[in-house]
Amino acid sequence: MVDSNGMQQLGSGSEIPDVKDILEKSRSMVTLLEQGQTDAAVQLLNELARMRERELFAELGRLTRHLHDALKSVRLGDEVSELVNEFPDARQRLGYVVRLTEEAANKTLSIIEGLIPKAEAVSSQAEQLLEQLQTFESTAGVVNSETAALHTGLRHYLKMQINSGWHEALSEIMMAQDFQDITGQIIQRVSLLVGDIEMGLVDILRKNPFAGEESSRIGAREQGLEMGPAVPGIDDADRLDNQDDVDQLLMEYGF
Amino acid sequence: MDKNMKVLIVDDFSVMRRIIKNLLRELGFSSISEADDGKTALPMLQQGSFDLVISDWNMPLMTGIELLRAIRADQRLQAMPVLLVTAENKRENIIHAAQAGVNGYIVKPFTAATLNDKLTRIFERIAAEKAQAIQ
Repeated sequence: MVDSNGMQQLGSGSEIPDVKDILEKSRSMVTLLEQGQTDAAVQLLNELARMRERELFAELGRLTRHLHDALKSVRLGDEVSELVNEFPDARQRLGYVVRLTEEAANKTLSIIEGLIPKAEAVSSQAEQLLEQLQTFESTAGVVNSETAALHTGLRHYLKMQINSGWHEALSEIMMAQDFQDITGQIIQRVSLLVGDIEMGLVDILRKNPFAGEESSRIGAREQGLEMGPAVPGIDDADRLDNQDDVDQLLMEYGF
Repeated sequence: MDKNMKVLIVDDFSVMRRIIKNLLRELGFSSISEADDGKTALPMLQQGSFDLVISDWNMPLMTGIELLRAIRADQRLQAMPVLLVTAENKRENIIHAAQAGVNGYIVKPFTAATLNDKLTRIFERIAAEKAQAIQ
């Protein structure tokens, strides 16, 4: 049997209901309808529908048997079991990456937190000393050429300390540690996905090798707003690239 | 902007809490507390006398937007200024936050200048609204 789309229809010769039977029932139905015996006509229609259902169920049964044989022949169960065993390991590795980057970022932050007050102290002391030096120079004047060179050197050194830019650089190194938050969130999201797939596969293994309904929730996310930082090239849709765009959008909402 | 105000930082990543805390210190704030997620933050807010919440969005148990909605639904907390600092840069998220009554929205990665700018604006706006209410 080939339908209008040229597809081979389900059902082989032996399952096709008797055409004569169908014709007979259809003719009787028309006669009953013409006679106004609607109830009897509907009953016949239901019978015809049931014949079609029986055919469908028989087909489903045959498909299931085929699938079962196919799965058995490729030993999918064993392969899935092996795969499932790899998942906890994968999640542990991802967790380890998050932990290592967190430790590294915290270590960097500790050093910076220790250095910032020192950088501030150096710069403010240099400012004080430069002021004192200038006061001394204006009152005592230049004593001789040797001290003049020393004064010039000192002034140069103190100005260098004042304008070192250390504090700004340290702040930038501190801000750069936010990579840990962004990468950590992305890794956590991947880890969750791996966990979902693992659970789905375990379900398939535990319940039935072809439990389609159970496996359909693999990778399904909770309803509502999706969370997590954007990964360039993957999540580009409808995202705002910078703070200016965010501010622009918020302005439309009265900000 | 009163630099003596009590600030609560809510983020599940310790590194980010630390960065925001350091930035706030540099801006002159000294009374800073931390919570690692909305569920921890809410009772702290209900018990303490905080003046500002700086929260992440994506957190386990209770997200930043859920915390924001809980704050707006709480009679004693509903006027609390909430600044979201988050990696969520989707249009949909930002609109949701605006509709839920957020006071400011900063996308990560951000700079110290952005944080200062948004904080200044939040308190300028609150002051302006108060002045208008008195008139």
